[in-house]
Amino acid sequence: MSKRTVIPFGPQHPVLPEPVHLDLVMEDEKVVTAIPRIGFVHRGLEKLVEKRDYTQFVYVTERICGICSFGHSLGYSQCVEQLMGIEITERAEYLRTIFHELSRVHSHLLWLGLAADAFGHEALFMHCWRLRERVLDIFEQCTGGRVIFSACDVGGFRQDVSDETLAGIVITLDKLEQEYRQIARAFLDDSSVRNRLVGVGHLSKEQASANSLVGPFGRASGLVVDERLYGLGAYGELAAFEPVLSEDGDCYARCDVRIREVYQSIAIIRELAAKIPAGEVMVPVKGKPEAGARAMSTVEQPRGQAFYYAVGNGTKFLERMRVRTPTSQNLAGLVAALEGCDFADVPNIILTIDPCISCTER
Amino acid sequence: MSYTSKSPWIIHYDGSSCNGCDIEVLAALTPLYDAERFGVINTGNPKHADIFVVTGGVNAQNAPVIKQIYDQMLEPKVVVACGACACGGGVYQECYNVMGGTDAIIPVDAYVPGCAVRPEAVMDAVVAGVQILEEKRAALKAGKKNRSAADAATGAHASCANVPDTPGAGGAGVE
Amino acid sequence: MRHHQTSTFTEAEASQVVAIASAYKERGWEFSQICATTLEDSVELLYAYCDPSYTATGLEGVRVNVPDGTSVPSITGVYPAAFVFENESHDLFGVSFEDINIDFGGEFYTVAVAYPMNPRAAACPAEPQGEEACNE
Repeated sequence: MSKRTVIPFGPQHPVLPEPVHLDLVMEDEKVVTAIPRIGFVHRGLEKLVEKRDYTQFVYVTERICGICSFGHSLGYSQCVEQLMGIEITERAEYLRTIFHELSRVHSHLLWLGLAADAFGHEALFMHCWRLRERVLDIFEQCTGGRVIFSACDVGGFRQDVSDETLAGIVITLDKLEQEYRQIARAFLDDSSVRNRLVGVGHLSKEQASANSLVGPFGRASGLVVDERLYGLGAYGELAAFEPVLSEDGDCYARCDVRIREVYQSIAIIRELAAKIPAGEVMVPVKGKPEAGARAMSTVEQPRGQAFYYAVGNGTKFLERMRVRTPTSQNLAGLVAALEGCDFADVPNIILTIDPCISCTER
Repeated sequence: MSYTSKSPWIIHYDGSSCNGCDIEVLAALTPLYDAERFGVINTGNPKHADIFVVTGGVNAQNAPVIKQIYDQMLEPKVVVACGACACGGGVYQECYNVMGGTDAIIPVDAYVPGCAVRPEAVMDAVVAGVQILEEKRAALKAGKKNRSAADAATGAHASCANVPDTPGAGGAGVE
Repeated sequence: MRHHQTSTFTEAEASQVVAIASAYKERGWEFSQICATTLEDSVELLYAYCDPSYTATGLEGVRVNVPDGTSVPSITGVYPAAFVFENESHDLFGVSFEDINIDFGGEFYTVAVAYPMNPRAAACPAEPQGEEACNE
């Protein structure tokens, strides 16, 4: 047996936009096992619930993560609405879903860029981020913010978006889709990209299921996991919804799944923008969560299932607020995918789970 | 800045930020904002970097990492704190695991407000940072000629908080 | 057709968690998470499972009361992904688990304060669990 070496990876590393530390136990060039260590970004947000009441806490949940900011405010609002029995308007549900899917487009484009950067394709990174700016422009036009935009609130959607604006959004997305097709071709057909991704970090469906993977990471291994299948809110109004799946389970499949999900999101926005009902977007929120009331809620974020749990105590402050984010669920899968890989593929594999560390640690 | 000024290479470290500022710092480097036209390159190696861009607040675990990256950078160097959290803790300042802004650990030369910061603001700060870099370089140069002058110019930087080195917290990885 | 999500909660003893996890696993349910809540003289753990067929009632929580000073068997033998949450519950709430597949021994989250989410555990930290963090 050759000698084992432990190589520390991170927290500051060129491929990582965020700090996570891995102890890679190596045998020559092969990773034997990887041990993640987190806590660099831990802030203790769940305890902040004692100092911020349930309406103020929306702003805190948005800042759990700047990439899935909208998803967090959506999940939290859904959970508190379930806790207090608030029924929001149909238009608000449509708007929430449209903005959630826009967030997915922005997040996947961001990820595609970072992934391109990880396998050394700088130009592709720049192109993905150039396209992503169009989505951020939409956010800025509708809400004033680019990444954290406080659009979702307990009780609905804070500010109505007119039907004309929605039609404009669809036109912007149509143009974006045309350019995106070219970029997607570079990802899927380019031989140098394929060489870096095909067969790397493979996880079978059984492994994916055993490690309880969520989101595109799980779907790339053929696991049918997609919270949108619940049909909550406006997802229930879609004519049809099929999760995007792949059977291959390698880095290439994860790329492929996310690329196809962007098309899917654009199609969802197009469909919902065409049939959004008129009406109010906010319902008045009164009262306090009852003591002992508890509710769980899930949301399909760009990275997978996010879980929210709230307990009331009769005051305007919640007794407990829990957020479980997709990356913390996928850490076990990351460890499994890294076992036996080449050292040079480590950055690639870490990126293909689309890690969101500030989500994970809160 | 004068046309002879250095191309500022930056190194970015995410303290305990929510990512919002990180992706905006990165967005400043991408085609729409294109900070690269000022010669800015994002590097992963502290020894190559002139400007240290920190996002997010400081906590007990990342404090030694930030301190270490700062110490590894060569003089002259400039620290830019990006976003409300890096400036003073932001929305998390009451959290148990947040010690405060970047200036709790290392001296900061430029503060960029915003939650999240806007790419325009990041670029403004980097350009302002180049100016400070020039001043520091001039001071260093003068200091070589006159040792006592250098002491006065860099005296401001002796105020760093002492951070105990905790082994096992992970070093700064280098490409 | 608009759908709603409902939450179903059941209660169980700490000694039953592995058997319950196995039962969910046999039914093909996905493990969602474990979270702790500090109560007056105990910590409550909530084990959440979700139904892969995505029905409106497909989210179930099992509430387990853990009195101070007792420990809980780990379910990582059934659902390996639980190691994240068990280590987290230990590091932030001071709940001790037995036989976690990857036991960080209190080094998963390095926080400035010991057991920040549980004032009682923070007041009298439990015995340190071994110097080297990880069981390989």
